[in-house]
Amino acid sequence: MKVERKEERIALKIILYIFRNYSVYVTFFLILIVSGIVSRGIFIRPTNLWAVMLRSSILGLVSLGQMLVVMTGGIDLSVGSLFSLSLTIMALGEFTRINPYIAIILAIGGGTMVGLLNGIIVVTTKIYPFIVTFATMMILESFNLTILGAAAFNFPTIQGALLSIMNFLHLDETILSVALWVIATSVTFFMCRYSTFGHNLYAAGGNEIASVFSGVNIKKVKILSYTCSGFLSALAAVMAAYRLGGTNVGAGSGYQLNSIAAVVVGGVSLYGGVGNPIGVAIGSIVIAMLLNIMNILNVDPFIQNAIQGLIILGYVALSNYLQWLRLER
Amino acid sequence: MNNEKMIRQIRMFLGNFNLVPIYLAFLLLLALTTPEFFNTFNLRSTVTFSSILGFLVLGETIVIITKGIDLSVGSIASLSTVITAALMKFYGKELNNVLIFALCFAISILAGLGIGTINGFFVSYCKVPPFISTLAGLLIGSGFAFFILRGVPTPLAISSFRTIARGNFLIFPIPIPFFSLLIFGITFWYLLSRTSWGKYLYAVGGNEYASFLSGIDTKRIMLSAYQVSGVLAAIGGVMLAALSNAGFPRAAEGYEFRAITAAVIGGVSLSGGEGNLFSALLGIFILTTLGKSIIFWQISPFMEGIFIGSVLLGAMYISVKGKKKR
Repeated sequence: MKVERKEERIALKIILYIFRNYSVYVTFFLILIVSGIVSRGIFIRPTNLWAVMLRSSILGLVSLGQMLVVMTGGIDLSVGSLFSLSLTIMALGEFTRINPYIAIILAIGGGTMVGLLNGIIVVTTKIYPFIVTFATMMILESFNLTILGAAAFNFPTIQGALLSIMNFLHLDETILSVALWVIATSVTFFMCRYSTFGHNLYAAGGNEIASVFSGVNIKKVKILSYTCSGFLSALAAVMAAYRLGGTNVGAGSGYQLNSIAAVVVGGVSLYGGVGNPIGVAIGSIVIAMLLNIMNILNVDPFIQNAIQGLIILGYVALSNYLQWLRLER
Repeated sequence: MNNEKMIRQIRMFLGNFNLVPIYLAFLLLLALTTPEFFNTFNLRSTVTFSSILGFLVLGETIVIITKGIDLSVGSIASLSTVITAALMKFYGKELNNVLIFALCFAISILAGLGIGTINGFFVSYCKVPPFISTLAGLLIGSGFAFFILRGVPTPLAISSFRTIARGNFLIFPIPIPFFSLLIFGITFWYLLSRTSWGKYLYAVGGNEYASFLSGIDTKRIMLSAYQVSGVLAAIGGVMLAALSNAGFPRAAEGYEFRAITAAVIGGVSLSGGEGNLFSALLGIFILTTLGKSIIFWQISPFMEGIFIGSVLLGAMYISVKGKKKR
């Protein structure tokens, strides 16, 4: 009797350990297998998986930036509108007929600048990050609406420029964006592991006051993380620009929430200080797979939003519960 | 002695920001730059619209007092405009008008209560950060709002429903929304300042752990705040449907933002535990007046978001600065 209890306890501990530390991978394989079965094999066809990879590479870039911000204990609600902003800048470039390459660089630069601005406002005024980025979101959306109006706008010249870049590199659209995503993720991974900035990032999120006293320049870390988030969202927008071929006001509206979902599923604590870029990358694939499988199963697109909301809630609640279990034992 | 107490009460009534002089100064500026602003129609519509938003502000303020935030009020209001339009479309001919009106309110309130309960449950019992939980609530609300009428803006089938937003209270020239907001405002002011529920709300917002130790059921108090916010947003949504005479899943998109801004202008602290309903309501009147005056200053209405965002950042900055001094 006694032995049984002990064994049960050990088994429970192992399961808990796996779920706590590798929950992303468990979720990933679960969804892969369940989707494959439920969709009767459509989901695991190469063409479909390729489409999922394209989607998750763009989402993954945005989520990576989101992760850097969340690790410092903040949140960036403006990633979606930053994404739209970059597309709007490219549309402006098309409209004013400047060199498309310059327009692309301006789009990335514009996103980075707004990210920098977010960081500076958060650091200097000490307003809650989600209020600052929420305000930025509103301002940017209003800006996009003022420039674009209610109509959709196409930018064939920009598309042509992106195509010629791809031809120059002899790369497919999907391969290029996946490659960029992999590079960005691995750079972030090594940065988090081995660089001072990475260590400071964990320190700032974990215990702000303690890290101030141990000489970490929190302001610099925070500003850098918001700037990176702006840069990565803008980069994702450029990657998506070829596929979209144009923009409208709501172009980036889904990314704000999807990136938070990916970050949460990827095992990053919303209270800061805990996280891993690889987990976030897998998390973005999980979210992209979920969106894809809902489309395959013909789930009403209007209900998809609601389901996504419930999934995020359930996931955060579950991980909080697991955290609580650890404290008890 | 008595005089001092009265002054203190007036001070408390006005909140931290002394909004009344600011509002008066703003109105004076408007009178100097665009006297056209002050026609009866415009004033009436400003008051009506602010009053409807006021319902969202009331709920938002109550949630913020508990150190939370409710991002779902806008989508709950949109959902109720859609529910109202859908009920009238499908049952408008079969049931009599009064019954339909009652049904619109009842079902919208139920929907608001449902989403509020989901928000509150996850915030209080599962320790999910409020803005994540209510962001999910926003998604759930807007998901259903789009689902019910497939995203098509639908005019209300019963035109007499408009009187709820556009009619006068009895014979006085007071719009019904303003009057009902006044009633709700006074009721909630009473609940917040004179009942144990209200005291508990402030206590939970001020220091959750301490209030838990002193025997307050903090989880239920927090849950109730989100539920009240959902219900108030739903009532506001039905009135919005009556005002715009249509149900549209994007009717109140972004209004949660205005509600938060109004509360912050009104001196409600986002770190919880303090705030005054009436100054928050005054905040929404200022904000709506600003939004309207943009059009009179011949600035593109698309740029309203830029103004509101800047006002929010400015007000937050002042509020944070004020916090530090004490």
